[in-house]
Amino acid sequence: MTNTKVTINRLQTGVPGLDHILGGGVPEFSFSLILGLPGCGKTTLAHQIMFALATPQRPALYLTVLGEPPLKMLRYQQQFAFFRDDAVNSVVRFVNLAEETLTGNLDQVLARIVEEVEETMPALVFIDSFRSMVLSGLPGDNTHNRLQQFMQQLGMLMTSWQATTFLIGEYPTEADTNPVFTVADGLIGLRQSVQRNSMVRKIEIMKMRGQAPVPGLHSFRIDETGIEVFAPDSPTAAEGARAGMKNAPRVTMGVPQLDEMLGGGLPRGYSLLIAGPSGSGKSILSAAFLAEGARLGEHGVIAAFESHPNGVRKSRAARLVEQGMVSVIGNSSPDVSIDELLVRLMREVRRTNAARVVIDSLSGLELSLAPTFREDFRESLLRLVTTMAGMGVTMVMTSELEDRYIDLRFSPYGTAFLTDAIIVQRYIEVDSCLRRMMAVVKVRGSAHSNQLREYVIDAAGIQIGDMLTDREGLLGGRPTRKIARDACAPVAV
Amino acid sequence: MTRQTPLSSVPALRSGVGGPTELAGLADALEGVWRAVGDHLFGIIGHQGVSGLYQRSLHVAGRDHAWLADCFEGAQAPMDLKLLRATMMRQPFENAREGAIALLDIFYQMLVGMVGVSLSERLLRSIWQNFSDGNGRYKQDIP
Repeated sequence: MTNTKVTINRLQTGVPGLDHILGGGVPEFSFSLILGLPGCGKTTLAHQIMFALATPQRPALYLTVLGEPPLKMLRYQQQFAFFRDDAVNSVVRFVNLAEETLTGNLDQVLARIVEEVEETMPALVFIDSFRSMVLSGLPGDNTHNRLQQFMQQLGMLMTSWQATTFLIGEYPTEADTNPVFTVADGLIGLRQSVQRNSMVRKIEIMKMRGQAPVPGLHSFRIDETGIEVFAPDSPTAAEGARAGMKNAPRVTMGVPQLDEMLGGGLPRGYSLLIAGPSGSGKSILSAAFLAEGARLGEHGVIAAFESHPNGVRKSRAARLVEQGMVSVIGNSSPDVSIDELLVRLMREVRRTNAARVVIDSLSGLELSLAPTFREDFRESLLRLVTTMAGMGVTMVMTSELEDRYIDLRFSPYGTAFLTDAIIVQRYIEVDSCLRRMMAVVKVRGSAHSNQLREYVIDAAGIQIGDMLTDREGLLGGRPTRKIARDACAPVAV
Repeated sequence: MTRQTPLSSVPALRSGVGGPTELAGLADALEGVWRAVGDHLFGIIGHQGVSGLYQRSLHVAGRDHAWLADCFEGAQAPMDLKLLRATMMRQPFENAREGAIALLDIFYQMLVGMVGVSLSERLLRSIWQNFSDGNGRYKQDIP
């Protein structure tokens, strides 16, 4: 039987990440509300969508009402990269309805909208802001009924004219019983919160008829290019296939003795946590991991969250960056979210077909997060680790670990369980000297050494030596001489 | 003489008042230009936006052209073109012409200050096209 169902065309909004959370884009001829309190980016979102979608075949009409004066709106919106001067008065037409609105006669406002729509035949209509338009004509307490009536008329009009319509309004995004919300096909809520000196913006698709939006709040950022929504998508089928490859060769770390300790290198797609105190060589080891990848022709990505980026520039990793074998994702702002980091990592991994990723360090990452995101640190980190694993990427994370010598800890965040493998580095005191030792604590599903091995850091990097077999109590930091016994046996799977 | 310079709003707006050689014609031309500006910009930036820029232009231009200051002081409406015309008609021709051009120049600069050259040109393009023949010549230059 022939399928006679209508196919809903989904318009691509031009806002990075938005189409994903919308469930594929904005349904053509839909009637959506963009909601949020002043200053949260509603007008910017509307403009970005409009300039992305407007073409000679799909002209746009932007109706300004009360609120932000059009001159100022144009002044500020043109600062964004998406604003195209050449589109104004050609594929994008701005019309100010303030005069009609000030009369308080909503029928007159509607008549003017009809007039403009009939004249320009727009495929896209934006009304900014509909709430001020409606409230200006609502004396008394009949607000809800009149608002719903107006919305229904407007919705009918726009649908019959086959225009995809966006109404921008200063409504709070909390679940409101406002009847307007039931009329709309789509509800896009924007919100922002300020905590200490960070501002976090979030977007929620509360409703989008005919498709399945990604639920929940998603962080977004506004910069000179416009709005970008950070909603990580799923690994592709090809990436999933790479992650699921059986018997893939193990990933070598660039330190042969460590590869031996790991049981022949790190299984591909694993995440490894290197935990140790300051100066123990975590960054040097992660740089060796990237350098080994470069030697084998594998591209790497490093997310650097250390407070002194100069250190990265002068390091071995910096040389790999200069050679184009490693991409850097820096700490660009004090209010980053893990989703933002994940989106940027995924983008860079896909762009460069990277096989290795380093996050240096989790401690710096946590400090870079906006306070509100720190509450979900472990959950978000689990999502990051899982997604990278799903893409078949092998990841190394470093973690600052305060040497306490009274307990064996691998991470200050309780994140050790998230990773597939753990290497711990510690300082020990021997003959009044500070020396370093390293151990492989865990390699999930794989045999590995359980030896505590001394190592030194020299110009060539990390050199792992032997066990200190004549000492005991190494984990306590102050080992003592002991009577020699048998060497440690490797950990079985 | 035919101007070969590229079309842009400033010379185009000026050209709207550049042709007449007697006061009444100049007043007609000036009023025509301002009505065209209003017709094209009201719809985009609103009456308040246009009249606000107009009033500010009068105020600034009035420092060098006293009759424009009188128009600013005596305005009875947001964009009082009747007053502009009536006040102009009482001026010597050269004074009126210089003031009219200064007012248009300053208005243009105000608009540029708000939304930039590129967008201003975009917004005013349809106006200056009324004053040109589409071939780089302004109408008062066309024989």
